[in-house]
Amino acid sequence: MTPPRKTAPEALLPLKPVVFQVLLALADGERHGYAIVQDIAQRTSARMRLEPGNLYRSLKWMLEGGLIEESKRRPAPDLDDERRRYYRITPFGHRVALAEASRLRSLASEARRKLARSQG
Amino acid sequence: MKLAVRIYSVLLWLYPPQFRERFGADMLDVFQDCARAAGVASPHLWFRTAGDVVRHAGAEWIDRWKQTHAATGLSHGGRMGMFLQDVRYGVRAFVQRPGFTAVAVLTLALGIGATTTIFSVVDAVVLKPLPFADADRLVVLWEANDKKNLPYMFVAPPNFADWRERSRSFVKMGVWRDQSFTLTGQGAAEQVYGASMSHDLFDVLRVPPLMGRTFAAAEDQPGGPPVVIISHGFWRRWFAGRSDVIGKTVEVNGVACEVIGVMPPHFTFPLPVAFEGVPAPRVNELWMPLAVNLLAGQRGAHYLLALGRLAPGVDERRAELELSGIAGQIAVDHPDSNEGWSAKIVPFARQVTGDQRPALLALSIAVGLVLLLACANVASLLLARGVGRRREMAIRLALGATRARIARQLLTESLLLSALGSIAGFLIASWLVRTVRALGGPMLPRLDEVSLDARAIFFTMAACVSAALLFGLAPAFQVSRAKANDWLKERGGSLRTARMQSGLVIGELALSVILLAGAALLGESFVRLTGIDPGFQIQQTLTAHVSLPRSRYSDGPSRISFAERTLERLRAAPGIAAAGTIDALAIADDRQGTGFTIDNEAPSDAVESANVNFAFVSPGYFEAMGIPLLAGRYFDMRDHPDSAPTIVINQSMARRYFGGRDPIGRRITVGFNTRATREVVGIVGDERHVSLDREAPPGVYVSYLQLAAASRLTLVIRTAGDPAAAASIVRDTVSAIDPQLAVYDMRTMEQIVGDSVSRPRFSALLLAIFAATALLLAAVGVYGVISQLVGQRTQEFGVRMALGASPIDVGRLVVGFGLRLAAIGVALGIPAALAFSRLLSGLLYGVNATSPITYAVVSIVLALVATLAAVLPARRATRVDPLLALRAE
Repeated sequence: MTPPRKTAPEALLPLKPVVFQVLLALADGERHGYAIVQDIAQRTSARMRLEPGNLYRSLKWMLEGGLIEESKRRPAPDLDDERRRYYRITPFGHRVALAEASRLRSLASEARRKLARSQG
Repeated sequence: MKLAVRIYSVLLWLYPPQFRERFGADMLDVFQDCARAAGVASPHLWFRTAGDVVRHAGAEWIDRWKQTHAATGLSHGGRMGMFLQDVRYGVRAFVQRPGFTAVAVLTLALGIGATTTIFSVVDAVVLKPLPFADADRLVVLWEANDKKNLPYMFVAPPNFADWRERSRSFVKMGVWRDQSFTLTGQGAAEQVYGASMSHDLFDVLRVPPLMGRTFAAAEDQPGGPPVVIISHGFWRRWFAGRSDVIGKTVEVNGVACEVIGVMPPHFTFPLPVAFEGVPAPRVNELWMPLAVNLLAGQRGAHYLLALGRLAPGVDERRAELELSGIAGQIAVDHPDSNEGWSAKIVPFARQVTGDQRPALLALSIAVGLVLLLACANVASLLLARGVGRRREMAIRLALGATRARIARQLLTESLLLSALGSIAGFLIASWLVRTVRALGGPMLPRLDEVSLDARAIFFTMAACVSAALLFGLAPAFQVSRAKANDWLKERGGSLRTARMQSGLVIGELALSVILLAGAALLGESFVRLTGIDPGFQIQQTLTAHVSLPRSRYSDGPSRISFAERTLERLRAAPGIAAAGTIDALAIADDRQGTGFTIDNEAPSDAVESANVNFAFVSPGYFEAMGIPLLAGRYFDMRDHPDSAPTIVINQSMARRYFGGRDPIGRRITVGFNTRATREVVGIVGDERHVSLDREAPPGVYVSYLQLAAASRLTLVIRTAGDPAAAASIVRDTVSAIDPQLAVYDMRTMEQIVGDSVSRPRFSALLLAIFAATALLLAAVGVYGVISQLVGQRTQEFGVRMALGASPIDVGRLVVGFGLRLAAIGVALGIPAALAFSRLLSGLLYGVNATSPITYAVVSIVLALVATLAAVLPARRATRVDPLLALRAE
């Protein structure tokens, strides 16, 4: 897994499912590691469960590729667990996520067309 | 939670340092949260975590490696070239030091080979379930009578019928008798083995036939149609594997029987059930219906073996409780026959494996020790080698090699070594497994199922190879740029390495003490066992069985006539000195017991139930077996059917029940068939017929010519020369008298006795091999450490000699060090050996497991070996030239 260089978002596609899910988890705000794990587990009805190694290797790859960055801003002090590092999505990461989403959409519609034809 | 966190922190060390430094703390946090959510004890959590660490730590390392190589601009071909270079360099290093290479490879090979073999044996004999569906639910059912000291007794048919009727603990129960059958109709008559089985026994075993069907209830009745089920092997050899075999007939015991089923290839039944004595080795080929009306039998006639399949949710204890309760009810209804009888249950697997467990446990421990030793030795060898190479490493570092590069080199070498060792180990193991199967002989149950076990190979290889990798890399870890300079100056190894090595060697010596002591005890025990005088002559005795089918030998006179004619012809044959028959041969067969009275009075110590063993023997038997006559006379032609009934007793009987009075002329009534009162005409020496290590119990002999009850005869022939040479004479003689009879199980008494001690011989031999291996490994270890010491202290020795020390002083110093290691090793090893010998005590005959002499001898042997191993390097030390040594400073 060589780290990506900042290029056209399409060059990174298809995204690994884990990477895509992490981007989605960060789409609505900054989160720390375990919050990402929980968010993904919730959205996939626990079908995707991240272990620490998998999560941080993906985070590392995304950091190096500029898809996400460490957040300097911290949540309100009473909610903050100051040991934890927070991550947020970069504009480039956002574009990559969108590109992946439209790739999946066209893939899905093509699949639907083909399957419908083979059935009929 | 604390422990879980600690475990995870350790696992984190598997990641590359940069990654760990950057994300380690966060990962730990996430893990903690996950663990809190899933529960720390959840096996699922640990499975996933372990998989995660292995996968992603590995991937991260690979990433890093790729990056560094991309950075250094090495192409793929260049990397491959580097690997080949490493291999070439490693091979060159090995070739340059053939001694080190040979010892390291051999050590690895011995460790892997021995451990794999024993694990394979233990696995086949003890761990692997019997070849039946849900075999762990199968139990053997016994009757038991504590008052009569009969803990495991065959089952009487009506009692079994009641058990089956009333118990709820079993899905199914069935009964059988071991049986051999005479086959005729195709060439010479032939004897084959198998069983008479109740029709439901196949349902208990849950093995469907390959072809045809199993017995129907209607066939399992007295007078039912003659049917037979055959084994796969029998189908192939007797019917040449013809597909239309069902419906064909086989002539069994003179009766044409219809083949109704063929069993699948690996089916065998009965498995040898070991309770007392040594079950005979046999191939089962035929099964016939038991055809006994269970309800009509006598409640005191115990002759069936019973097998049950436990109902779901019922354990042995509950089933035994229930059966005993039923036995109690039966005893109330039939006090005459069943008073005091209860039931006992033994898992089928344990019954078959029998008393092999302690021996195999001891062997497993022994082989575990050998594996430890091998690992320790590899570690110590590589440590020693690493020390020697630190200068080389330091030079390479100084010349600009990276630590990673050096580690790679060492890793390649260790892998190469491990690969060689593993291949050699595999060869040794496959050879050993074959040898073990041959050596174990017929007496180790299920030995034929032993094969090299993939898990075992993998496990031992992993153990040895990780030891090799771990310690092979030691020099790379020790080398750092800061220290390289020091090591360039330093000549020997560090104190820490030396200590570590000494520790390893002491450990090896201690382990050797355990194995040596165990081998010495078992060896001594075996020698004592084979030195026992069994009371009969083992040499120049040939034995063979003949079964007289009831269809043609239905009454006594016909059997007597057969025996007389056969013996007469045999005695006339050249090279045969004596010949006789018996119904239950010493060591090979079990003898029956019976109650008795002397002069119509029960013997005084009636508590012991006054049971004697009895056997039917023909005239000539005692002479053929070489059993000495102590008083009176042997049986002869005077003891015929029309003369007054006579009996011969053994010495133990005379001593126990006649209290110093002369037994000759007294009258004994024994309780079989006819209750005739018999006059004692002779006293013979005791023959140890149960086993070599068991004294002969009181016993009596009745002349076969007077009571020809048995239809299976064992011929005993004393020969003038080689007993095996008489084999054809025996076959020809029997076939000349009745060509329809099969002579089978022909063995010399030497073979029978040899087979009966094959278990102790097997254990003793294996342990001896282990001990020898251990000793060799320990010697290598001592040699390595002392060589190291001499290398490190060359200057010191030079100085000493320059100051006037004689070479002998220096040699003494070096050997003394070796002896000190041995002394510590022995001191640590003896308590462990004592603990191990306690485990062996059940396997010992006539040997005290804690005998100080054994341990003294073991200590001396070990000291000798340590001295020998130290002498070579010591000689090198004495040859140090003081001048050269000083100049090198």
